Amino acid sequence: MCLAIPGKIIEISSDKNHAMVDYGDGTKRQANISLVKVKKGDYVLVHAGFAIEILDEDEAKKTLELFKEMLSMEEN
Amino acid sequence: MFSLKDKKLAEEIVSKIKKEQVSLKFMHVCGTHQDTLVKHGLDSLLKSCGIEIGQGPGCPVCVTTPKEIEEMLVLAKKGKIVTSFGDMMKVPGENDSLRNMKAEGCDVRTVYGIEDSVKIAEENPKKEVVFMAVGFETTAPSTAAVIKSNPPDNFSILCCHRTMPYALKAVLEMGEIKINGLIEPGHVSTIIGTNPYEFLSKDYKMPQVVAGFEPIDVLMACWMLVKQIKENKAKVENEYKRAVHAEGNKIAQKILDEVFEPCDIKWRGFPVIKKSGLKLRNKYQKYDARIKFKEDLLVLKEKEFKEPSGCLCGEVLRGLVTPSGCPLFANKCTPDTPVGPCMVSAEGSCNIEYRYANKR
Repeated sequence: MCLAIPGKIIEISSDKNHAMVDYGDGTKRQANISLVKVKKGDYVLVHAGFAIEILDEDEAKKTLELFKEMLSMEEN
Repeated sequence: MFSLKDKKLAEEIVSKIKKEQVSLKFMHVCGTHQDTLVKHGLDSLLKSCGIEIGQGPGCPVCVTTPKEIEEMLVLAKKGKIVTSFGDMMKVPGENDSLRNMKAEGCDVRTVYGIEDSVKIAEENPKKEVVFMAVGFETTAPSTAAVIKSNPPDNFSILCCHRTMPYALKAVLEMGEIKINGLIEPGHVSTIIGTNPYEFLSKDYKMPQVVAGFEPIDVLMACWMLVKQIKENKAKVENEYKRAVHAEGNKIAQKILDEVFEPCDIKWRGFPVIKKSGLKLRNKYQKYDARIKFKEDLLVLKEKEFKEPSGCLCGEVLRGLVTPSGCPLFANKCTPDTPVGPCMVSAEGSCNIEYRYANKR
């Protein structure tokens, strides 16, 4: 139920409350974007037809680096 | 049976945990975490490292009570167009399920989200359309946004939304099982942030990690919990920073607060949990199906609501019994013939265990 799928905003509709989201597997579907401040090109998590948060790509990379760092720190 | 995007990193995390020689029990409260754990064989892998990990009351469909199911069935029988997420359709009530009602000619429709339900109301102005609003903080903002957008008068919701922090408190207060750490649900946390969990660390000395849903996320969360325990710490850490901020999604929180107020509510397998539910504020009562169809629902007023005979969903949701520990599991109770909701929902631990059992 709390499953949320990441997708990319490819077009914001004229009512400004919806956007076309590309899920990268050939699926494109409209989502409500009234709960997030997004722009075209942003990656969002979509749950039950609503974008609930923007995904931070930099943070994703940082997290992975941090994991590696944490693990190697333990060695010392 | 062990697949990962970064297998080397996963192996490294596992070997770190193994070295610590722990014997711990963790609880998570999300069907998607359970899916990751079982699908990738992480639960048995972690067990070999001394960590038992199970799902608590973290499946919105599963914690919906028999009374709420009966309310929906009554409304369907009374001629409303009843709409809900697919998982709700097969949850058995005392004698029926929404799916059965549909077969009997009632107008019951599966929707992907609440906006689809509003669309049905717009297309059927002479019919009453009720949306069964289940879900935690992840889902409730979508309900709030729609209610605030002035949907048609023939639309209403049967509000079954619940919120997580006080349910976690209830699990700890009941003290039926010893839990050494909590893995907090990533997508609930996108909305509420990490701050609402702080009191659990402070008051119950509970180590907590908010985690994402890739195998690496879950393994890392376990490692972070082990580290906290080894260092004798109890705090809230955020492993899922790519989607979760400490303060959460403020737009969603604002709209939730405008539309809903907290209420006491019963969870399946639990008594009434204070402040763990959401109800529509007075201003939006015209969309409350329980008020709008009060007369129709009177038939349930004196009724006693029982769990299905022999069903241990309550014990499973409290982390006392594993799915395979239920005598009904995989014989009388299967996804095609579910006895309790944990076997129905794709987020229910019995359903997940059943689906992956042959692949282990």
